[in-house]
Amino acid sequence: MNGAVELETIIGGISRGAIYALIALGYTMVYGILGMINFAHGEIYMVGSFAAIVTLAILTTLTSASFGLAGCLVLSMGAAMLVAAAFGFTNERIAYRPLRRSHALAPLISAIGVSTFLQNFVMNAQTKDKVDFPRAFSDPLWERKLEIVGVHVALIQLIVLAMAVGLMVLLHLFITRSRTGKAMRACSQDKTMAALVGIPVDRVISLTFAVGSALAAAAGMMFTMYNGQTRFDVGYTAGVTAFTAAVLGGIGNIPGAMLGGFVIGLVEDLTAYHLGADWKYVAVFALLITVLIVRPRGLLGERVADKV
Amino acid sequence: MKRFRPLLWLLWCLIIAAPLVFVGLEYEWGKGLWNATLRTDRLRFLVSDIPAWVGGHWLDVIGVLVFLGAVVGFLKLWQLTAWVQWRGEVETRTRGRVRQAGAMIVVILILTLSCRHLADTQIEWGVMVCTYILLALGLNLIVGMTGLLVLGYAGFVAVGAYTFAVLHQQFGLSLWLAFLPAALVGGLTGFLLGLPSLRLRGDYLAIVTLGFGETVRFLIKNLVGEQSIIISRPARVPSLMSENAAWRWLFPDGLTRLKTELWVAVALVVLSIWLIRNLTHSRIGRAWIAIREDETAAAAMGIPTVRLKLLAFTLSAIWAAVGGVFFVAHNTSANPEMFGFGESVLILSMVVLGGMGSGPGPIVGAIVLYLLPEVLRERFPVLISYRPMIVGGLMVAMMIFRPQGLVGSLRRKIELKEEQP
Repeated sequence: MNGAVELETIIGGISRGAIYALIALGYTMVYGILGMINFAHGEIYMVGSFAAIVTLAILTTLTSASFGLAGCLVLSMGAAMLVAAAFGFTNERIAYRPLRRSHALAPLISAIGVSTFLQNFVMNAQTKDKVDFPRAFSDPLWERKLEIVGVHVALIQLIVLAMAVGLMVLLHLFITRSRTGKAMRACSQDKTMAALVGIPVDRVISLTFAVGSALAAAAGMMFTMYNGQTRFDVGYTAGVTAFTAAVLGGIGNIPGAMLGGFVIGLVEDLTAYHLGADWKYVAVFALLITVLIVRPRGLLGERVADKV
Repeated sequence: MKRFRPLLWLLWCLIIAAPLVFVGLEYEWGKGLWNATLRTDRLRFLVSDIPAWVGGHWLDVIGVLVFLGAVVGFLKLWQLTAWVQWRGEVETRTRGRVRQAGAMIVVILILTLSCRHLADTQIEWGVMVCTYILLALGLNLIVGMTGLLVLGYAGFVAVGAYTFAVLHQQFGLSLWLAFLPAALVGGLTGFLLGLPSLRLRGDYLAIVTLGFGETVRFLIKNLVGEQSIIISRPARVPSLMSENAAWRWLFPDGLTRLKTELWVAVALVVLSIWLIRNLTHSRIGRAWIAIREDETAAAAMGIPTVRLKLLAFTLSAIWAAVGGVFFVAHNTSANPEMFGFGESVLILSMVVLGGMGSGPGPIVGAIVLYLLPEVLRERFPVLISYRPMIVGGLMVAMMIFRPQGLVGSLRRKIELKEEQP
């Protein structure tokens, strides 16, 4: 076993894990407040990846990419986050809010409906083939490699890691320091009590969906840049993987989602390296089932999952 | 203002969808860049083509509307008879049975008399509809009756299908002998998956079964192989009654493979309806409904909840496996990609559309969601490619406006609408 290659796999796994952590945050925030699994979250991630590519195309055509490489990437990420936030907000208003007081199965089925709808909407609106991330934007970042004691790290891996961690720190500050963040925490503890002290619960829930979706879109853009391509059905696997991360860390627990994301990224890349790429999905699902059965509250979860 | 709110939401959805709908992408290989183009064809489609098309095909549009109206009217009539039956409480069960048996006899008579004239495509639709009805009935046992959401149903279908396909490939097993081993393996899989995972609460169970469906697909890919397994079947089935005059009238060109399949499929559906009807009206069925309505209370009343949920899981897996055998036998090939998440969602949406937990619900759902797009395929070719989108939208709309489904019971409606603590 080559030590340097092993280390490189681990670094790749960590940057991939950072992306999963960003998606997992959306699952965990929504679960924390509403107690439901937002099945359409993976699709929001996919919409984000498409929105980023479309924005880059618009930037190239209209302004011939005059903002420079970094400027274009940041702009497209911002646009993708905006579009995805709009999708997440609309999703909640149309498909979940009317069902908030009904049986637990109802919002879940509705979410599956939204997920199918969005997937096929993008397939019909854009294409059913793979869409490449524009090479002109991603290749320069892959070609720059840093060498640290014999281990090669591509610049893109560091950038992805740094941006993901940066977004997570921002989210953490937003939730712990700001007034709105305080309102969010209050809602996730007790919605009725929060409403009684004058917190606009409905608006906080809308905001949670928007923030979670924006994070998913950022993840979608970075993952497409990192992997090189996207397709209308990437949201499904990424969604389930990120959900596994959220459960592993303890669903409803924000630091848990971050930790879970990194662990899942590592597990995926190490399995793919040692057993072959086909086995990584099996490994993730096996991990999910094991965690749900052996320790449903996850690594960091305090609340005991209410099993009947 | 409030009346226009749905319209405003529609407008808002159009606005946020616009970047993905109206921007086309063209790759420039030399530079490795995408160029954006404005999809004027789509703008034109929305603004002028659709109105023009409706103007030119108004008879078709009216035809579809009349058909949908007829379906709704039929359902209303059906509900009316159910209401009459409910008024005369003493006779309830016998009259219900007479009603259903009558409906079945009418369907079989129509089939028998029309079988002579059916074209191959129509028989094919018939076989596929029967397969989907089988699958929807099986899924309804667990989702509708017991109230457990299973998202990996296609996984069970794949287990049955591949049991048959592999046995056929290795030992040349014929379709008729395959039902038993497929049902056994399917039931065993359902039992083994149910053992650990039924301890989980609703949405977690959904995720675990979803994971199971995917795992089955990947395991098949890795263990059996990604290539399709071809299933060879004789074109004509030898029959003992071929000299009988009535038989010759019914099947002028002998018993073709398709017609045999149709009859076996119809027989299986009738058998399943009868079995499931008796099952749901028995002690077991009542226990399932109790679990669905309140599991804690059911357990407190002495119902062995785990054992009954396991039974529902196993039975539903057996139905899936039998449906799977038919599925690949009819397709004459088995491929792992046939049993993806989309297939699970399609079957689930049939159950949801028809009515979770209702007897005729899954049948109506399967007919509407499979047959309608197929029949309208030639007139409205877009319908097939937009079916998944329509299915998704329908699932959301059904949950909001009619959670009990098209032919669902009042009891289920109250249950689904009730406020959760």
